[in-house]
Amino acid sequence: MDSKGEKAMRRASREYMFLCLTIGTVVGMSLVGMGCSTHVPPVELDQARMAYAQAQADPQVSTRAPVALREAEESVRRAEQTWDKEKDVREVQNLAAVAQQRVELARAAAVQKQAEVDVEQLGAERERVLLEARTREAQRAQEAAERAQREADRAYQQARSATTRTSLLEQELTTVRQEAAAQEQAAREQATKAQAKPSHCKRGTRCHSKK
Amino acid sequence: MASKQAVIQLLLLCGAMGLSSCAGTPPTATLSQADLAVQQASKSKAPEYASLELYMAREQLTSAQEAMKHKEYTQARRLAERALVNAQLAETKAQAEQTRRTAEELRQSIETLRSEAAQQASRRQ
Repeated sequence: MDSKGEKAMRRASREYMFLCLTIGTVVGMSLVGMGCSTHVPPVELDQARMAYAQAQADPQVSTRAPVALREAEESVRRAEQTWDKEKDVREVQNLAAVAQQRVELARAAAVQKQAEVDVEQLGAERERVLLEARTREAQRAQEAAERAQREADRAYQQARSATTRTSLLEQELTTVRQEAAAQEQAAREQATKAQAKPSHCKRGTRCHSKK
Repeated sequence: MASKQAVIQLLLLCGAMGLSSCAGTPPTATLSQADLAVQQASKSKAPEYASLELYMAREQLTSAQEAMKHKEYTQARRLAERALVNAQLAETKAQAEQTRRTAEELRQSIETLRSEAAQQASRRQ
């Protein structure tokens, strides 16, 4: 009985000790873990990672500013590596802040590049609009000149036909005058002839006495 | 005797550690780089279009120079790194803003030309 009881007690105490050891180990390990968990990476590192991921996902940034984006990526990576190697919170905070600004720099570079493209395109468009306006102006001027020319031509033609008519009339007038003069002359001659030799004087000399 | 030696060794170790924490090589190159970047940004349109970033860069540079005076080289280097990137950001932001405004002016000028042309066309009709 005694030996059996002793055996049982010994077993129980052994089990108790085992339990204590297990608990102790677990507690100890969790304490160590807690000790490690104070070395969580600073918030800034996560923020920098997220900022970079967002910029990378933005096609404007990734296509317009690939070089600046790669620099930002390198900056984030340097912060991560420093954290992995040194666990220096303040150093990593600083590196992460720099990395965040590098992401901002990539965004600004993308805006700049886009604006440059816009300026180039708008400059070309402005040239085109100016050229169109100038062409239209020239066309308008030419049309006006043509209209003026047509009017001048018409006026000249009118003047010419008027002149022709005038000269025709003048000719006609001259002809009429000449005819009239000739008729007058003929009439005058006839009259003188009639006075000089009246018909009843032809036969005798009495006419002379009458004179 | 042995304990005395241990104390001396400990003191030496502490001194070395103390020295290494504040000494090291002064970050002269980083500081002059930051200084140059701030000067360059000040000459650009940054005071007008990116005043906040430029202000931050200037503040950080001043703090970095202060830290250098006190031989806090690690702090000086960190501040100079921040000042450098902020100065670069200020300059790029200002440049982008300026280009964006040029584009806007061009857009308006095209608009004016087009409306003038439309007015002339309607006047002739």
